[in-house]
Amino acid sequence: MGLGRSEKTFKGFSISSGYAIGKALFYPTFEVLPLVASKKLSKRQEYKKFSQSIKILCQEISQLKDKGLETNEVIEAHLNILNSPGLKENIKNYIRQGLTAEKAVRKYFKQIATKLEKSENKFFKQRAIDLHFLSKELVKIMQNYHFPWEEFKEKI
Amino acid sequence: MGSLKIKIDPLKSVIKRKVVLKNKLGIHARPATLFANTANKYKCIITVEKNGYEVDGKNILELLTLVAPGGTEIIIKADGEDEKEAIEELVKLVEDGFGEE
Repeated sequence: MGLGRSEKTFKGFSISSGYAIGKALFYPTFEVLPLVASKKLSKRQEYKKFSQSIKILCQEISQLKDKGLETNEVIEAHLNILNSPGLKENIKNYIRQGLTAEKAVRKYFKQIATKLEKSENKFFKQRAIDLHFLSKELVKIMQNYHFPWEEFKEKI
Repeated sequence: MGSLKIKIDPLKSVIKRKVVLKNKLGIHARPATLFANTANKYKCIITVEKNGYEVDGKNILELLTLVAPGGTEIIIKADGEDEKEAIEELVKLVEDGFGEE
């Protein structure tokens, strides 16, 4: 087009489905991790691990917002989900029942995502992807497979 | 959800209001957040029902599982000391389309 533009197609996990114009941050996806049993922790420690992962993920997502990317609404929605008392309460209940924090996160998010996936409404169906993404990121943080997004930043 | 933990006693007199979602996308993440945050200001139990499926009105994720786009009819129920105020504010929020088109 003579404007010095180029087009590249990437396969990956976007924050949300659709098209966007703007700076791109690339964060390579990892294969789904096996839920290796972490060292036997007390229920209190399991919940602490979960809380810590929420804190880390929120910080990272917030950093994307601070960069002025035009995805603030999506980011805000993700932050709201992560900070919702309902999420914390349900994870706490699963941990009380004896699940590890990782399994509790997987189970609860999957439960919600499955409901959305069954929907005939495309918009709601796509939201299931967001939930799987958040769930995976939380598990990665808890299992120390997580790398800050900043390390994967590339320029086009 | 199907396994709703917060149940309103069906024998109790509960305030219920039927409302139709006015905004195009209905209860997606942002409206769910607004709804849950508003509901969480009140002590009473708040649930939302769509076609017999009832969820905790204070939980964003559960509200999303209603899969309620614009035009859907929902029933908001409240039970507790501040139920009247809660239901008034929540109905207004829905009727205002959550500030969306």
